[in-house]
Amino acid sequence: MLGDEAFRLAKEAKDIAADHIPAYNEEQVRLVTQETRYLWTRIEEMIASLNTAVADQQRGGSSQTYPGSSQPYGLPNQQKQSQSQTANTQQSAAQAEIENTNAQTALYFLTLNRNKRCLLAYHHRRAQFLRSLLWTLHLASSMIPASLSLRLSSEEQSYARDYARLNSTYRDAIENQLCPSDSLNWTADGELPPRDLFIEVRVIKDCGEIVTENGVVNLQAGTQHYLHRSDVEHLVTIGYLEHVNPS
Amino acid sequence: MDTQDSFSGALDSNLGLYDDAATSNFEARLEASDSMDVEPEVASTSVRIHATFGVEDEDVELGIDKEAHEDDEDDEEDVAEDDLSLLMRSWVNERSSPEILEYEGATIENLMELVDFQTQKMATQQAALANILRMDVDRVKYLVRSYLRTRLSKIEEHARHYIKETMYRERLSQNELEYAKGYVELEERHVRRSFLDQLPPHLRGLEDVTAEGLEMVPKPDLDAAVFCRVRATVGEFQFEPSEAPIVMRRNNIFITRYSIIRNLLEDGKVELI
Repeated sequence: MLGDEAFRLAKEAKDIAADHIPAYNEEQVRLVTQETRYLWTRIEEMIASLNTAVADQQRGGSSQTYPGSSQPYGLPNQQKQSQSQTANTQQSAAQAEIENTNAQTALYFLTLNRNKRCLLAYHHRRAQFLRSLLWTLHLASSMIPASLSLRLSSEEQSYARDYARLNSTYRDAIENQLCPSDSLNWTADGELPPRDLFIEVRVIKDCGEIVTENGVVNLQAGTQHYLHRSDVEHLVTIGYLEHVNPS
Repeated sequence: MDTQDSFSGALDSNLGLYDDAATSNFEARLEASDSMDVEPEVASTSVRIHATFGVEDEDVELGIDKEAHEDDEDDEEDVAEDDLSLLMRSWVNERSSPEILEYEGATIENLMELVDFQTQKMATQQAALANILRMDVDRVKYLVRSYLRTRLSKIEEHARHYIKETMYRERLSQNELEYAKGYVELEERHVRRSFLDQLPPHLRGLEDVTAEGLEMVPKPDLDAAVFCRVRATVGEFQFEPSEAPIVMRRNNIFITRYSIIRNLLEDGKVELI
């Protein structure tokens, strides 16, 4: 049925949860764009036939024609108007035919716009998911887990890269301006204000050695350390370390 | 509007508590760092403030410390404190308002200069003191970071609209404006490559307006409900054209549509919470 494909796409967009994203449905997107293109050609055909039908009706009268299809939104209305102008002509059968086609054009038009809207919504929702994912990964687009990146389209992957780049441009500019010799820890957790200076962490996965202010620490799996929060926070968020006894 | 008054009164006490809890960390820190340098002075200041405060406004018991910081006009507080509370207020305002607000560039720059100064000082201090300073610095950085990021996420939401309207464009910093432009470009490229280029040419627009006046570019919802607290007595204020004006006294809290108090917010007469 008309618009079913777009509806499926919209439903899929709704299924996106905070931690889950379905695979990019390229096939469905293709179906919707295909339907849209088909409907558009149908509309063009119908408008052409309408023009000839009306021209027939108005033979001898004013040679009024419709403006070209450059105004897709206004078109159905204009047709109705000019149609009412000629409504008092005698050819009622032809008139009914025109009305029929008119209604169909209007319906197709709405479907077209609805399709476009669904497509936009689908991509927008996915991009939104991608952005919040990137923030939790400290904007490192290369850190997207393989299980997730399989579900993204190639466009989305380049979107993620570009978004990260856009953000780092801004970060560099602002850090240069505000604190040239320091960093803002731009991607640190933005929701909770810092409470403790030091946190106790247990190492889940080997991270190798990290350099802190007080020297080099070797983060071997299974060991436990008491470290500056800002030194290891990013490792906690990506799951290499575990925060012991968070308050 | 008796009912509304009592309603706002009730809210006042509740939210006052909440607010106190939220800011107590910062307050405590402020006092701690102050008392290290100029203990006697600060102590006397705050006593005096409490006293004047009591005279001015009898019906408020909560948030005294906060008031002491915000309403002190005697220029005895140092500059850092002013900038900090200013930024904190802008930060809360920014987080609660549906549209983007004026960029507090100068405040942030001052604060970060101070952070830089503190960081240098840290190197020469004893470990215990240095840790406290570092905590201080971390929290200021958190505030700055959160403020900037809140703005970015708001820009992302309505990037197209902000770029189009001069009023909003002027509220953004140069960097933010570039970010907004880059973001719009990025979004557009993404949808174009993903599907828009496959559509018939007439359907490729992203800023269309339908015959019914529906626009594709989303705008911030200026009629969103917000909580606001009155900072300086406004007097009678017309909330709704159809209703009698309501007296807005200091520290009253109202829940209302953002568009109604928008100008008051710009003048700094109210703050969002």
